[in-house]
Amino acid sequence: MNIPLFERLHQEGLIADPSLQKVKQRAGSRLFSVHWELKTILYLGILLLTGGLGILIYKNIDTIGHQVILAVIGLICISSFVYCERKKLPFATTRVPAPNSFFDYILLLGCLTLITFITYLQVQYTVFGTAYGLATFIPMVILFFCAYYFDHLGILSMAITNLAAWMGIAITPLNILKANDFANAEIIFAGLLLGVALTAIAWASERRNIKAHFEFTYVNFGINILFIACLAGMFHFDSFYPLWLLPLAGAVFYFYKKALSTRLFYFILLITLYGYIGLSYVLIRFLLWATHELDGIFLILMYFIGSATGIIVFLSRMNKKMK
Amino acid sequence: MIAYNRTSLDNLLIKEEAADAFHQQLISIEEYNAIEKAYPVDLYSPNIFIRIGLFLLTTVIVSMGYAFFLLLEIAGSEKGIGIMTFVYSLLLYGALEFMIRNKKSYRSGIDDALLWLCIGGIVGAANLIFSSVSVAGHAVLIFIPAFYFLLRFGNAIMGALAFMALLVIVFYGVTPLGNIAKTIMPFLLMALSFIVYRLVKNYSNNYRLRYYQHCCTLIRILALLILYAAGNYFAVREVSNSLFDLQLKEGESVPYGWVFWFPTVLLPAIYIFRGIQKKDVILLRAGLILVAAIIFTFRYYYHLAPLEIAMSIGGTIMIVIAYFITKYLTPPKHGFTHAEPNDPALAGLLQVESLIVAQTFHQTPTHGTGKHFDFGGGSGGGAGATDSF
Repeated sequence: MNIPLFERLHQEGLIADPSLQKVKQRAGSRLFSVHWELKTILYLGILLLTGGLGILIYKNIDTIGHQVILAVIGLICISSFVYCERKKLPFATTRVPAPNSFFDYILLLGCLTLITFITYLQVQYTVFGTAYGLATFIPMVILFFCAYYFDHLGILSMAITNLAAWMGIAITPLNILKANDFANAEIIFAGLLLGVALTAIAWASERRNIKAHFEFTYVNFGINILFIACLAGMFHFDSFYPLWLLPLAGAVFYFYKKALSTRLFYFILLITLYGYIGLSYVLIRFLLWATHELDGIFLILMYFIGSATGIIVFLSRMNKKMK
Repeated sequence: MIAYNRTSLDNLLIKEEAADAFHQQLISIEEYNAIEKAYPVDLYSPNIFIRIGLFLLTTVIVSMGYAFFLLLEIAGSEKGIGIMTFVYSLLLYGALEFMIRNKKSYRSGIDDALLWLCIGGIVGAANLIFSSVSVAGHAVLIFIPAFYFLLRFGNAIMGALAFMALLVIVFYGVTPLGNIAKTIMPFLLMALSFIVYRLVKNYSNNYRLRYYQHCCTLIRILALLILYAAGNYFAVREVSNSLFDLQLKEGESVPYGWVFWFPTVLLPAIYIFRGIQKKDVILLRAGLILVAAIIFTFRYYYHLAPLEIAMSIGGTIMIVIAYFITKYLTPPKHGFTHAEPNDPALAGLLQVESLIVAQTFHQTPTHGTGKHFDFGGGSGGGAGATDSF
C-alpha cells in the first residue's frame, strides 16, 4: 500500500476518512500468504509419490515385495477417500466449495492411486477382459463420478481427457497436436463428434444448472478439439476442402455468440485465430490454383497484410465493445 | 527517455493501487470510480487474450511485408538484402514509435511484437552484411537495442534480454584472456549477478524508477537464478567441459570442483531463509524452485536410491511438509498465512490448474497400443504457482 498516495487522494476528496484509516491499518498488518507455495509443494509431492508408486509396482511385479506395495497403494487410496468422504460438504448441484485447502489434493491422491490399482489389476489379471476400451472406460466412469460427487475441476479435466482417450483421441493440452494422427479420417470425425458432444454437455450443464461452473472446462476442451478437427479435415480431404468452411463457420458463429454473452475474450481469441487459419487456407489454395506463379504470391502477401490489419481492427473493436 | 506520456503512466500506477485497495475492500466502488475519473488512463492496453492475438497478427503483417520487399530485391546480392533488412528494422522502429505516440499502444501486443521483430531484423541484417558474426558480436548486437528498448519503453522482457546479453558479452570477452580467467569465470558471473541484483533491489522502490517496476522484478528473478546457475556444480562442470574442451571422464571434476558444492547446496537455503526473514516473495520462490536444482545436481552424480523409490519418498516428505506448515500457520503466525490471497487476477488460475492436472496425470492408453499402460505416472514438469511471480 502506497500510503502517501492515498493521503493525497484523501486530501483531494476522492476517498473518505474511514477508507484512509482502513488502508493505513491494512498496510501495517498485511499478512504474507504462502498459499501458492504450499499448494505447489503439495501438488509436486503427489505427482512424485503417485509416479514413484506406479513405477514401483511395475518393476516389482514378480517379486514378493509387490504385494506390500499394492497394500500401501490400497491403503493410501482408501484413507484418502475416507478422509474426503468425512470432510466433504453435502452434495449439491451447484458449486460446493472445498472444506479446506488440502481436500482437493487428497482427493487427487485418492483418485490417482485408485486408477493405478485398477490398471494393475487389468495388466496382471486382465480383470476387465480384452474387450475394446473397457480398461479406459472404467477409470473414466470413476473419474466423472468423483468429479461430480466431490466437485473437483482437476478430476473433471482428467475425466474428459480419459473420455477422449476412450474415443481414441489425445486432448491433453501439450499432446493434442503431436499425439494424434490427423491424416486419419476416423480421428477427424471422432474429434468433430467429441467437440460437439463436449459443447452440448457444457450447454446442458448451464441450462439445467447441474454443476454450471463445470461449463467452461467442457467448452474449453470442446472448442479446441472441434476447431482442430475442422482444420484437419480441411487439410486432409483434398477434393472438397472448401466444404469444411461450413462447420467452421457454424462453430465460429456459435462461439462468437457465446463469447458475447459470457464476456470471455478467450473465446474471441480462439475463434479469430482458428477461423483465420481456415479462411486463409482455402483462399491461398484457391489463389495458387487460379493464378500464375509470382502473381499469386503477390496477391497472397497483399491478402495477409490486409486481412491481418483488418483483424487487428476487429479485435480492438471487440475489446471496446465487451469492456 | 521513456516514450510514453508520463502523466498517463502515473495515472496508471494510481489506478493499479486503487484497484488493489478496492479488491481488498478498503475503499468503496464509488471511491474507486471517482479516482478512475480524476486520473484517466488513455493508454491502450487490452487484456491478455487480445494482446496475444495482436502479437501474432502483427508478426504476420511484418513478415509478409518483409517477404514483399524480398520479392522486389530477389535478384539482389546478400549484402543488398542485408541493407534492405536493416532499413526494414528501422521502419519497424518508426512504426513502433508511431503506434505509441498516436495510438497510445501500451503492452497491447503490437508494441511487444514490433520490439522483438526489430531486434530480430537487426541481428539478421548483421548476419547478411558481415559474413560471420561471433557469439560475442551477436550478444553486443542484441545488448545495445535491448538496453535502449528497456530504457525507452520499460519493457521487462527487453530488460531480461539485455541482462543475458551482458552476461554473454562478459563470458566471451574474458575467457580468451587465459586459464586464470577461465577458472574465475563462475565467480565473475556470480559477482556480476549479485551486483545487478543488489543494484536493482536498492533502486526498485526509487520514485524516479517507478515506471520500471516490472523490469526490476524480472531482472531480480533472473539475477537470482543466474547467481545460482553460475555456482552450481553441474553447470560449472558440464559447461567448462564442453566449452573449454576439457574432456573430463566420468567421476572426474574440474580443478577444485568440490568448492562448487557449497554454493550448490547453500544458496537455495540462503534464498529461502532471507525470503522468509524479509517476507520477500521473489527470494522465497527462487529458493524453493532451486531446491529441485539441488536434488537434480546431487542425483546426477550420486545414485543413492533407484528413481522410483526416491520419487515415492521425496513425494511423501513434500506432502508431510506441506501438511505441517499448513497446520502450523492455522491461525496465522509471524505475519504468515496459508489463506488464499484475495486477488481477482488469480481467478483464472483455477482453470489453469485443472489443465495442468490433466496434462501431468494423463493416462491415455490409446486403443492402438492397448498393452501399454501409463500407471498413473506423470510426465513430470508443470509447477502450479510459478507463473504468478
